[in-house]
Amino acid sequence: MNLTTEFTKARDLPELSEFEEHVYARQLQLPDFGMTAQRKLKASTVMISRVGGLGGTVAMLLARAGVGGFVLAHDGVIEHENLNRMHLAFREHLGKPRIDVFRETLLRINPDLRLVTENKNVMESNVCSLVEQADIIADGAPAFEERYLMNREAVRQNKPLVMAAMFGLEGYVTSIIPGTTPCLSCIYPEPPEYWSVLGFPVMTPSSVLVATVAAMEVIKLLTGYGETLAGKLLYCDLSTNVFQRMKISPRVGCPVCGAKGDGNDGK
Amino acid sequence: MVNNSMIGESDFSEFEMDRYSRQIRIEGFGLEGQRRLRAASVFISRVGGVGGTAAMNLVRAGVGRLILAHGGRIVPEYLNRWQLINPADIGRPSVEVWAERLKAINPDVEIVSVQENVNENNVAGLVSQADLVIDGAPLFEERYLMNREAVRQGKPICMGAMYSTEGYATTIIPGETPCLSCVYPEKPDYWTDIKVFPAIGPGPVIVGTTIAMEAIKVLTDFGQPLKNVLWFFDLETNSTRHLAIRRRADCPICN
Repeated sequence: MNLTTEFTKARDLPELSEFEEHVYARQLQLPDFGMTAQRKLKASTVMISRVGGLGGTVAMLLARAGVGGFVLAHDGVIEHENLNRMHLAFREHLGKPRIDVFRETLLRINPDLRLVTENKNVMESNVCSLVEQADIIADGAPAFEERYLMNREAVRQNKPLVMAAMFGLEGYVTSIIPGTTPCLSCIYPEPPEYWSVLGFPVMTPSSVLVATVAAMEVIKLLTGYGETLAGKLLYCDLSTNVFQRMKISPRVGCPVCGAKGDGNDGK
Repeated sequence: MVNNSMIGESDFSEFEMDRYSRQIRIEGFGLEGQRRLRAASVFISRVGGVGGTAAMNLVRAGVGRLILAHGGRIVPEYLNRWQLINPADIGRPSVEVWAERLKAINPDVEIVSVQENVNENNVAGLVSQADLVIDGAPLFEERYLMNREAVRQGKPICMGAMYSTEGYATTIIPGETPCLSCVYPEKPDYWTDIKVFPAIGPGPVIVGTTIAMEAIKVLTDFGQPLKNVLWFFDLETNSTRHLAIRRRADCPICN
């Protein structure tokens, strides 16, 4: 489905500078994309929860595509084992606060970005104001607790949420449109038992692939371009290049999104 | 399956063990996969949206040595899809910027950069320095040249191409799979002027990332590479296809 972009439609869209017209020349030629879509990206602000292997790559891709603003949340400092997949971090950044490093690298890509940064992960005390400042959310957090919190808040504030997750060479992406599609709690009423947060296996090509699909989802939802993964869960495995799109339905009586549902009663 | 405990860890530094710890624990890859990757030399033809993304992934993953060939300088319209360049780099030689940025990611990787595209004069020497070739060139002429030379030298090629939101990837193993000339005996008519093809970052990044993974698979004997398969992906709809491809009995290049 194509989402009509209520959150940018009513806004006065900014003009592109001459330099920006050069930078985006190739994508302005995409069929059905064009200048209005590009101006919508410039007007938009994307909240990214955890700016690591997934979220950081989403941020990098969206900053290059012309998204104008970001709200970023991530705690901790750059460690050696982050360097195999965090594309906004370089060797010289070891030991520095992650969020400062991500800010620095993103501003090198586009010095005009509007950035709000939070040196903490998403939690009860900050999630409301972080989501309030954005038009759309991309969630790359590895912990289910953080994702449930983000899901609940995005549903409450009625903001679209692109969920991306990975393990080893496998990845999952879906777009949650509150009131229309299943939310995270419809799909996973409880955290799966097999899910362990720390130290899961990851190699950069798989995290980049999942992040790239997720970044494209954000672009689609913001501009109305193409076909989104709303109501679909994309699964991919880079060890075999198998991709599947699974249909997902709202869960009747979901305590988070209160979905009326159309048949998925959890059995 | 390689048992990690059977392989001595002493030849990896503490930093490397830490850096690659999350991928060493991937089942079927392991320390032996990491060792094979570090021992490998990869030649990348054109480090733009596709080839540059492949380079970025391989350097993060810990390949031993990269040879990069790309002519020309950075212009503003590269910024939407070349993942490691910035506005401050405009006007600088493309390959010099890539080499600098890749070194900043991982100084342990050896980078050899050549400030020209693949041509009749340099192709044999460049291919001979590598165990595997990644081809991200947009022109069929350059790709045919690379295909011919890689087949002659018996080196695998991971090929990736894109147009708009569509991407293609395949892995060519000379003597085992079709070569580029088996798949496209002649340049397709629709392939005209490289200056005008539409591109948004995620398109070339999907392709460059897929062929980087292909290179890792072939170099470390891990997973299932796209042999005899042309993989198609459309980011506009997220649809994918695995198209079976065959060797051409009368192919003038690989037979």
